[in-house]
Amino acid sequence: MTAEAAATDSDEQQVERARLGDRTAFEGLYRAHCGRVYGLCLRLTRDAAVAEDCTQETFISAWRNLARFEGRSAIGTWLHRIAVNVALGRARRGGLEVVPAPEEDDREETTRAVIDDDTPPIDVENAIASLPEGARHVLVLYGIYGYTHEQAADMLGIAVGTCKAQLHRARRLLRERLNA
Amino acid sequence: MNSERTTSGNGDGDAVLRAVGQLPQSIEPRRDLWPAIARGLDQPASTRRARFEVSWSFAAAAAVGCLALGALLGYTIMHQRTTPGLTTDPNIAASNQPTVQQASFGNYAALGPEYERARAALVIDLAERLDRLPPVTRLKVEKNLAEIQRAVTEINAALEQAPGDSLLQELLMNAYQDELSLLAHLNQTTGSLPART
Repeated sequence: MTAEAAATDSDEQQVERARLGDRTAFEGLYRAHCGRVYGLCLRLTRDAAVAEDCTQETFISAWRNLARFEGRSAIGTWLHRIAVNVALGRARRGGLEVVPAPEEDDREETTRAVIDDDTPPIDVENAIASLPEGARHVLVLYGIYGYTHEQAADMLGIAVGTCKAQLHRARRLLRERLNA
Repeated sequence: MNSERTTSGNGDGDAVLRAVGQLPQSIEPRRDLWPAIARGLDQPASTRRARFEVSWSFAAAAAVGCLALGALLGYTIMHQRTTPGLTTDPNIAASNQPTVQQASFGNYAALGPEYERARAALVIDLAERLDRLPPVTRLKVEKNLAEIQRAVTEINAALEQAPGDSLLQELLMNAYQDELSLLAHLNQTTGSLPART
């Protein structure tokens, strides 16, 4: 079976065949979901090359762990969970700061001052990319991909209350930056 | 859960969220990633993932990684020593208790004895070593150690729910490595510093 033919099958059918080692079926899953996985990775990492690596790692990890996928959630949700873990793990491996960067609030004030200084409105995607990490992660999962606070908090390893607070912060900052 | 929808996220009637929700969920990568993924499927998972045990090689790898962090920490200390006022800022008070607790790695992982010995050697006189640092640097180090401890605790909690999750295991390994690297650098850097009076 070709990947094109596999793409006509449902996710469930492709998952079942991929579990049995059918790479064509798994390629069909990749074709169906790579855009959403890459989009999430790109918005979490803000770097196209890193996002590509994370996407590859996500699908390789998914292949190796297909036996653990119990089907209680959609395959797309499961892939997103892996992608979040991969992206956050990548950030953790690459970013232990002995000398901290300037405080987030300082950066916000600087950016806000620039934006308020008759700067034309910037597009939504760029405004999201300019948000502090925690607020951006929550906004991407909740606002773009439609996960609930409980799901987003679970994916990010934070408390639900923290997730809500980060979303509130993201909305406030985004509103300011879009001059809405 | 509505993560499978393709047009919008959680709008909630908020203009900002509505705008965010209109963004496309799917973004196509610049190139076809499947060939690289297909090659990756043929490669066996690393032994580190297959067998979750910290070995001496792990500690050695962490020691190598310490070089870069140590240089940075050393630079910070030297920079602050030569910057009047920074080391005696009365507004910055270092805490009296070290951030790292003995055997504080949580419930999930069974660390190898070599790792435990290596870590035990690094946390000897931790409080004294921290006290040798300028207050600003000490706070930075303590902040990083606390962050690692928090990460370990959270990952362990997640592993209790999903004990076989290889990604969580990898995250936990990374957190252990981060802490060991930082402790090794602390020992290396403060070894040449006089005790603060």
